[in-house]
Amino acid sequence: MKNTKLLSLVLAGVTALALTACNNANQTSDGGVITTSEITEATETTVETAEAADVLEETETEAAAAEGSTIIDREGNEIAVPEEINTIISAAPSVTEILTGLGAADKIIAADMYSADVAGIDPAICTLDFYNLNTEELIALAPDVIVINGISETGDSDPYKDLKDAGVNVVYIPSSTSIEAIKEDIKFLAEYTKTTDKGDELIASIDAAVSDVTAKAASITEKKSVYFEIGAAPYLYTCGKNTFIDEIITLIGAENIYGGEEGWISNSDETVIAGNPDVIITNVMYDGYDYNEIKTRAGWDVITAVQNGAVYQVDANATSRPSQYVVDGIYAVAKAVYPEIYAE
Amino acid sequence: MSRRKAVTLTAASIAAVFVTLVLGICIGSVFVPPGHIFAVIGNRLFGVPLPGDVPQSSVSIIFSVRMPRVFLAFIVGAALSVSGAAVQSVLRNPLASPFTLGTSSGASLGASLVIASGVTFMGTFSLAFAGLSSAIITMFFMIAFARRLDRSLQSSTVVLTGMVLSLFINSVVTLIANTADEKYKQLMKWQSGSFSGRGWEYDGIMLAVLAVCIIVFMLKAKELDILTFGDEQAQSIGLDTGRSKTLLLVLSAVLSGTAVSFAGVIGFVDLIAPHIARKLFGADHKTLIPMSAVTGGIFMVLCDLIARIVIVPNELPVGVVTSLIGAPFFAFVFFKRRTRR
Repeated sequence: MKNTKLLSLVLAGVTALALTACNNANQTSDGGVITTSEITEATETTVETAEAADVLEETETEAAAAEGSTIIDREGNEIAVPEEINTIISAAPSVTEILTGLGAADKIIAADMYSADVAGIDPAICTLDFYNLNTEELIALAPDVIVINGISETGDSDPYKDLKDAGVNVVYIPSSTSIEAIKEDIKFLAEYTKTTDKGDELIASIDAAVSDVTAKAASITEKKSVYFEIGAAPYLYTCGKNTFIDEIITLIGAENIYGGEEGWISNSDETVIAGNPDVIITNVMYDGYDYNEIKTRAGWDVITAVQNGAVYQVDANATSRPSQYVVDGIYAVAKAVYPEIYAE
Repeated sequence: MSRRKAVTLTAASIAAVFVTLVLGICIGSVFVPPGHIFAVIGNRLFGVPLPGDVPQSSVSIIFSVRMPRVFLAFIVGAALSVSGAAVQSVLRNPLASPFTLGTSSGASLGASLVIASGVTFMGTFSLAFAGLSSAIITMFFMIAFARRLDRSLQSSTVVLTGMVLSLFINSVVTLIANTADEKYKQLMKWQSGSFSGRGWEYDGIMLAVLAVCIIVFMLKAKELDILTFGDEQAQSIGLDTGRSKTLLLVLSAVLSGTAVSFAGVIGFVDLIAPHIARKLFGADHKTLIPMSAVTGGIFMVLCDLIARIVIVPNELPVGVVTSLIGAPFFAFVFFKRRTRR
């Protein structure tokens, strides 16, 4: 009987363990085991930290020299602008896209792994994993600046404190959810990297697209309704107001069927059928996904969009990354919804 | 149980199931007037002409989305519960379940291989088929391994072997998930379980499997009763415990493996529902098996209902709801047993 008792205890523990293991599979595998390469890396870093300390002194002198040159960052804090920026680390694809657009691609010495498909960047340097932050690796790279996207921040504590202490300029860009905010991001990064001419060009390209689309949208009398899917079945995801996808849909003269809701929504298929959209757009495009699956979903055959074959796929990057490429997103959505109006 | 009591219990169960199903079908993220709901059901099932004021979208929502979903929730809940009841009795362990024996990790392994490799061979059912077959293979492997250690399949041998195997397979799944990058998300989604977006075909297959397994379990009810007395007693009566246990465990693997493959890993139902059934209706397996099905089905439909409507228009994963209710219950049963001794 004693054995059974012990067994029950062990069993309870294992069940709990197995369940947590399921949910945190990604974290445990990365955080749990220290590989030999990591140990070597750590040893190397100790040596390099000594070097980094030298760099630190230099940076401080530089900062002192550039005193007086400050800028308000995207979170409202006053920060110093470095006299000269030669090396940058980008923590998010949208930041990489903006920096590349500003002509600073050659200054990016490392970037997050999702930046690998950004045009004009060497995919080989896009290896950093900002979800499992390796501060030592970042310090060892000794960049002048590291640009962090809001999406890389986790919790209340500042995960980049060590980096700042090591003398690296850390700049935060919040995850922008409107076209206006994207323009602000570009403006700020342009001023910070002293590339305002390029920045103005990028902003002008966005303005041009917005006014072009606004003018054409004015002629639309019967607005089409749109369902924009960002997560495929069985776990549907879409977006309501205060997202730039909703803004794009409104801008081109259409109506988001979830326009009355706020932010990101894990919607049910019932509400899509009840919303009866004229057009369905998905930006889901992972390997092996065929968006025609949407047309065959049970019960969706009564939706106007499915009946008329108005189900389209648009580029995921252009419709999810807040950068100057939002222009591509605007036109992709516009052409899907009103091909007759927005075709070139 | 007297004949009269049996009739009353059957009638009460049917009524409870009916009420739960109707509740599940009537309440959802989109409001459809009850009049329309019954009109749709009458039209589709009994050919009653549809009144003109019922929109086509309501027909779709009720008949193509909500009804198959509610039925699948019921059948999957029943399947998990019945297989849980059988495993608990066979192993004489109140905390054992098909999931702790490796069925769910086995199914996850099959599904993750399909997702990571991108190979499909049976269309939409590839995932379900791969999950089911690897769940059954896992159970066979586990039993074969346990039999090598101990021919009569003592409970503790089976439970420990199952746990070890389950943990091992889980780590393999984690390994695959981490090398699959982009597809990782898809795998996590599959694992967290859902009844949404499944058509009537899923209900049909799941119901057939459930019906066959329940019948076999009912035929083996006496063996299950004897096994709960313990191995020595069972052997003294003349039962080949090893053989009997193998059959019953494989059968519960088929049942829970199909359920996991169709709806994902939805925890705790297989553990809780049989306990409730045992408390309410007694431990006699002739009653326990069908009543576990009823309890598990009702529990799952209610959990899914909560998952669908608690934060409209958002939808929660049903596994979150079952665990939220299930985890405290799990602790309750465990500590209650401890203080009693």
